[in-house]
Amino acid sequence: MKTILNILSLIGLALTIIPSILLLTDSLKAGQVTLLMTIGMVLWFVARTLRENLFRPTEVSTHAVEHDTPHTL
Amino acid sequence: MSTEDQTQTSASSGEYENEPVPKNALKGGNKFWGMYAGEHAAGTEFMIGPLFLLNGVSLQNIVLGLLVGNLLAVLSWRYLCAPIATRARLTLYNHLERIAGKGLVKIYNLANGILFCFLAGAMITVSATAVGIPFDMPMPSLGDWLPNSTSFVLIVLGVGAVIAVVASLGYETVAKFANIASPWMVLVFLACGLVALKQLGVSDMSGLEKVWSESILVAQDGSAESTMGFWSVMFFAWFCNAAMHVGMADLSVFRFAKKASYGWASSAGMYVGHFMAWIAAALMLAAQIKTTGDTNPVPGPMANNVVGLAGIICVIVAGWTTANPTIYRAGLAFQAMIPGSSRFWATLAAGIIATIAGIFPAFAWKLLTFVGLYGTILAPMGAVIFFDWYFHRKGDAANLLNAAPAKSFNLAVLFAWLIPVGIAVYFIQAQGIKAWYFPLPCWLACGILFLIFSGKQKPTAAQ
Repeated sequence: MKTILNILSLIGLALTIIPSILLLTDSLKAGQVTLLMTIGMVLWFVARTLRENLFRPTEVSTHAVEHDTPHTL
Repeated sequence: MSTEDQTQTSASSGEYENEPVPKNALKGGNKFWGMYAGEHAAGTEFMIGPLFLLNGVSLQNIVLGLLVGNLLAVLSWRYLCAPIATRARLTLYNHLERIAGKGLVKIYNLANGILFCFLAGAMITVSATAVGIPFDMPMPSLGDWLPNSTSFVLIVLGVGAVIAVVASLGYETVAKFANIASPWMVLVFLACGLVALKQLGVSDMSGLEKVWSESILVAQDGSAESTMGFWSVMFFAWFCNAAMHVGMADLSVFRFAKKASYGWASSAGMYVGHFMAWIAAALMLAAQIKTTGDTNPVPGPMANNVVGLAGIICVIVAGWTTANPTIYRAGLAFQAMIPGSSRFWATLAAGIIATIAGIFPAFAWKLLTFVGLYGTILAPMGAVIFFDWYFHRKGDAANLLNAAPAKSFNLAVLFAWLIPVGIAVYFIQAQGIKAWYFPLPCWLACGILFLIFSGKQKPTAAQ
């Protein structure tokens, strides 16, 4: 399951960036790019959220909650 | 809660807010590279890139200025902030308390909180421009300093209310969501830039330079007047995060680093967020100008114009995940000012202030000046830490950790901070000099004044 979710999330990221590269090489049309990017977005958020919730142990991170000043720029 | 209790609580939660981070809690380099890359692709990037274009920055100046300015920012993290962080291993506030005293740190904290509210307000405006698209909301234009329509006000209030309530309820969930969203957001920025290039119809650098210059001409009604050159871009890129590197806020991050060389990880944030994302956002505006003739740097429609729904969602998420920690942190600052007050209500108050600020598009349009002012006000406190560390503590953490507690309100620090900042604010507001030129002179002046004023009150060892 974890491997499947990892693969799906990677496909989501690929669908986010590759269509715009293919647009530059005239291999895709603008409408197809927006559609594929939308699919990629849904895939990434669903797969990644499931993966985080199901498999990632709670850990202390060095993210903004611990910062005195969150990175906002 | 006693100091001892607080220390135990912070240690058990793994945050070590009141003590040096122990060796067993240190983290590997990958954490820092990932964190910086993700956190510097934020909602503000959608505004900053387009504002460069509208200020008439040439393509050559934007590329060179960002390359050099970001390098100087990385060097500031690596050689000013990280070495102190990895030896003292304290948060900014704990470190500053030992020098300036708790009372003065509260004042600094409050200044931080107020500035955060206005920054969060600009991000609420950014998110609202994307949320408003399906409602056919009239977008504010660059000339609008006040809200331009009732629907804009209602959408800002709605977005602000959600962000304020979520921030008040806690931070954990949004922090997790932000972590999930950041790799995707970085790629959306890149995709936006690539699609914008296609819309501009350029195939080489000379073509891009021509289109860029034409966009400036259209945006400035044919005048092509540049109000920002190489030095402006360089200083802005160097000091837009002045509070974090020379201002030492990222002591709180690098105290977990095994080595000071982890400071190089900041280059991921600078060259992904403050180079690629800014240029991509600027290209989005250029593409919008070419395809629609609209020169308004409104993030929602700009992103929608290039990549559609993914772009709209990216603007909302970027604005939200930027505004949320900012409001949360401002709430903590306000809570610290009123002993016994509830974090929920303090954060909600910060959220309400940010939402009211968000109703006024001027805060978003003036983001470059605001960011410069933010660095000018906050960064000099980092000079106090830097000069104290090398001149009073001789670079030895034991001299800091074993010193007697500072007075509650160290006047030497207060005046060293206020005098240069006061002069700078006068020049920025009354003389109209660009704000991003001031963090460096203020930082140096503050450090030197601190050494002069504190000459006779060097720290003593605890008994």
